[in-house]
Amino acid sequence: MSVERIEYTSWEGQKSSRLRRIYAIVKKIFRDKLSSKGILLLLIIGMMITHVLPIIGNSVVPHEALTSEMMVKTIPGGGGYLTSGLFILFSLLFASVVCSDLISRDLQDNSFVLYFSRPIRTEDYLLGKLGGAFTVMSLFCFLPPIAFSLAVIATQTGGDYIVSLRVLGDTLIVGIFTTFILTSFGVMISCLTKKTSYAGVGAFASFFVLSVVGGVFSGFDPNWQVIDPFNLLNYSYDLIYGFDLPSEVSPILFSFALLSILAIPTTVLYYRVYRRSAGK
Amino acid sequence: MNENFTKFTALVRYSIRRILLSKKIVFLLVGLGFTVAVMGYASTQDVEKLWVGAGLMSGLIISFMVPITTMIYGSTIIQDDIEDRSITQIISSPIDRVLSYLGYYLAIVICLSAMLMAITTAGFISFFGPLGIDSASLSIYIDITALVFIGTLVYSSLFMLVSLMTSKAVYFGLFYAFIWEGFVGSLPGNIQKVAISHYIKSISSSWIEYISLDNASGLMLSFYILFALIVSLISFGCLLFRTKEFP
Amino acid sequence: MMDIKQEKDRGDNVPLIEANDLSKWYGEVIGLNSFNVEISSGITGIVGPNGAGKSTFFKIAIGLIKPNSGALKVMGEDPWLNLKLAARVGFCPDYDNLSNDSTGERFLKLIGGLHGMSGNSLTKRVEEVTEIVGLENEIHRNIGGYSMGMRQKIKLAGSILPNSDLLFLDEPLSGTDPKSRKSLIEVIKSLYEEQGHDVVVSSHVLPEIEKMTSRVVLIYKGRRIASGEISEIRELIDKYPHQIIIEGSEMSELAKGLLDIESTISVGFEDDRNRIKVEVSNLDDFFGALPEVVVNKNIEIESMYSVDEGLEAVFKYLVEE
Repeated sequence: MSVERIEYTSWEGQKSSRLRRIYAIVKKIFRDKLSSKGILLLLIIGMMITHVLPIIGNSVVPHEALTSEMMVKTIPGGGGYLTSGLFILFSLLFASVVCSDLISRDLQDNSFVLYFSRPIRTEDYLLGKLGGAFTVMSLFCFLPPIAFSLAVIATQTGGDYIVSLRVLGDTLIVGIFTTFILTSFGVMISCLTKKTSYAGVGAFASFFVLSVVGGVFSGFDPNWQVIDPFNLLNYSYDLIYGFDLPSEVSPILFSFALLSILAIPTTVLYYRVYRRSAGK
Repeated sequence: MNENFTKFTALVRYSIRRILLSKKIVFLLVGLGFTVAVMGYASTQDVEKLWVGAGLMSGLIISFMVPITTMIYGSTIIQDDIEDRSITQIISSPIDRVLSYLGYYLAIVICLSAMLMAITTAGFISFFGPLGIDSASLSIYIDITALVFIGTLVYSSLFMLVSLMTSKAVYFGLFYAFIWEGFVGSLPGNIQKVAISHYIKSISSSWIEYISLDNASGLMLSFYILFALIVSLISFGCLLFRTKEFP
Repeated sequence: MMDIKQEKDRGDNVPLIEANDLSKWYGEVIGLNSFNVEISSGITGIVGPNGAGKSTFFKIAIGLIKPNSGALKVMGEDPWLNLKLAARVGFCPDYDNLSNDSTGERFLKLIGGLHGMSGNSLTKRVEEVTEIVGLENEIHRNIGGYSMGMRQKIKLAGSILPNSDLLFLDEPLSGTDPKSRKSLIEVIKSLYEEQGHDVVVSSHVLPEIEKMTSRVVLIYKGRRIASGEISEIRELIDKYPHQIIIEGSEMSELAKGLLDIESTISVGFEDDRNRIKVEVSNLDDFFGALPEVVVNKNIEIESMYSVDEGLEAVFKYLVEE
C-alpha cells in the first residue's frame, strides 16, 4: 500500500466571524467579572461613596443648570465631582481588581496556546480583552458620570439646556477618556507578570509611586506635577471642560505626559502579547 | 522545650529563605532605587537640610514604603504557602500552629526590618551624604530606623491576619494602605485616629523636632495603642490559624 | 537500616484507623458520606475512582481538615490539632508540594527540623531515607530538575524521615513511568516488611494496589462499598458476566463461531453491523478459544476491548448490588 503525499497549499481566504470571536471574549470577561462577589462589592461600595452621594447632593441642591464647575471645580482651587480625588482613586482600585488577571492568568495557565491555536489574531485577542475590561470599567468610570449629569439636568431650575447638554457631551468624553486610560494601564500591568496579585498591586502602586515622586519633586519645580497621574487626569478634565492648565505647568510637558499615558500602555501591551503569541 | 525551639527555628529559616528568594524582591529593589533617586535629587536642591530630610524620610519611607512593603509580603507569606501547597508539610508536622504562625511573623519582621533599614540607610546617605552628616541628622536616622521597625511590627501583624481571612488579602491591603491610611489618615480632626499611620506619625513628631503633626496623640498613648494592636492582631491571627482548615 | 518494629503500643484490640459515620462536604460537594472503616496493621490499599473521597479521608486523618460529622480515630486518637499523633504519622500527598528552588536535602532537612530533629542525627537520617528510596545520588540537586518518579520518591522520603509509625501515601504512583512505578512499589512494600511502618496507600488503579497488598478498602462517592481481601472482591465481580466489544468485518460470521465457545453467554450487534458485544462468564476460557474461531473463519478483527474491566465497572456492579 503506497502512501499518498498530501499537497499542502496555504489558505488565502478571509477569516470570517471576526467580530463574533472578539465578542465571545468580551462577553466572557463581562460575565466573569460581574459574577465575582469581590468586584460587585467593590463596585457597590465605590458607587455609594463616589457617585451616589454626589448625585443625590447635587440633584437636591437647587441649581440653574449643569455646569463645568460642578464637575471639576466646586470651589476655587478645590475639587468638583470628578476631581475630589475619590473618583480617580476608586476607579484606579477598580481597574486594578478588574484588569489584573486578564492577561496574567493567560500567561500563568499558558492559555495563549489555546487562544492562538484558533484562527484569532493578536489584534483580535487584544481587542477582546480590552473591550471586555472597557465594558466592565465603564460601569464605574463612564455610566455614573453620565447618570450624574442627567440627574442634575433633570432637576435643574433654569431653562438653558444647551449649556447643560454641552457639559453632558464633555462628560461623555471624560468618561471614555478615563475608562480608556485606566483600562489600558491596568491591562498593560497584567501582561507584565504571571501573578495576578502582583499585577493588581503593580497597577495601583505604580500610580502612587508616580504620584509621590511628582509630589516630592514638584516642591522643587512645579513642572514635575505632570508625572503625577492624578494631576494629569485632573488637568485633562479641566481642559475638556474648558478650563486652563495651571500657569506654572508647561503645556508642552503636559502634552508629552498625556501622550505617554495614552500611547505607552497600548504599545507595551501589543508588543508583549505579540511576542507571546509568536511563541517567544 | 529544646525540640520546640528546633521546630520553630526550622520554620523561621524556611520562611526567611522563601521571602528572600521570592520574585517580590523586585518591589524592594525598585523601592530602594526610587528612594535613593528622590532623596538624591532633593539633596541637590537648596533646602533646609534637617527639615526636608526628616520630612522626606518620614513621607517616603514611613508613610509609603513601610505600609506597601509589609502589605505585599504580609498578605502573601501564608497565602503563597497555601497556594503552592507547601503549607501541608508545616500543618502535618508536630509543631503547634500558634508557634507556626509566630514563626511566619518573626520571619517577615526580620526580613522586612532588614530590607527597609537598608532602604532607610541608602536614602539617608543619598540625602545627607552630600550635605554633611552630623549628630542631628544621625539622630533623625536612628529615630526613623526605630519607626521603620515599629511600623513593620504593626503592619505585618495586620496584613498577616487579613491574609488568613481572605485569599484576596492583597486587594484589602491596597485599599487599606492607599485609601484608608492615605485618605482617612490625612483628614483633619479625630477621624485620623482610626488609622495606624496617625500613631506612628505621633511618635515621629514627638521624637523628631523637624516633623510636626496637627492633633497628634501623646507619645505613651501612641505606644500603648500600637502595642495593644500588635498583640491583639497577632493573638487573633494565632487563633484563626489554629482553627483554619487546609483542604 | 531499622529493625522491624515490634508490637505497637496500642493495645491488641484497638484498630489502627477507625472511622464511624465520617462525613465531610465542601459546600454542595460531598467528599465523604457516612464513611465507616476499620483498618488494622500492615499495608492497606484505599481504592476508588477520582473524586471518590480518598484524599479527603487522608486529609482528615492527617489533621489538615475536620469532618463535618462522625469521628475518625487514628491509633486511638483524634487527629485534629493532635501534635503527639502528628509526630507518629507521615504523609505523602498526591499533589506536588515541593519547592523547585530547594534541593532534596534541604527539603528533607526542613521536614526533619519541623519534627524537632537537628544536627548530625538529622543528617544521618536524611542519608538513610534517601538510600531507602534510592535517591542518594540526587539529593544535592534542585528539586526543579527531578523527574516525576524522583519527585514522588523525595515526597516518600519526607514521609518516612521522622520514623513515623504510620504512613499515609496518597496516590504515590500517579504520573510515574513503569520503571519508576515498579521501584516505588518495591520501596512501599519494604516500608512495612523491612522497616516496620504501617502503610495506608491510595490509588485508583486496582492492579497497582494488588502488587503491594492483598487488603483493600473500596471507596465510591464518599462511601465504603467493600473491604477485605482482593480475592474476595474479585469474586464479587466475577458473578457478573464480562462484556467485550469486537470490531471488524464479517462480524455475523464471528458471532456464530463465538456462540460455540462454552463461556459465551450471549452475542449481540451494536448499532454498527461491524461491531458486536459479547457477554462471557469466564475471560480466560473465552480468550483461550477465540483465536481458533478467528483463524478458522478467516475473520479480520480491527479492535477488541473490554467495557467492564476498569474500576468504574467494578464499582458500578458493587454499588448496584
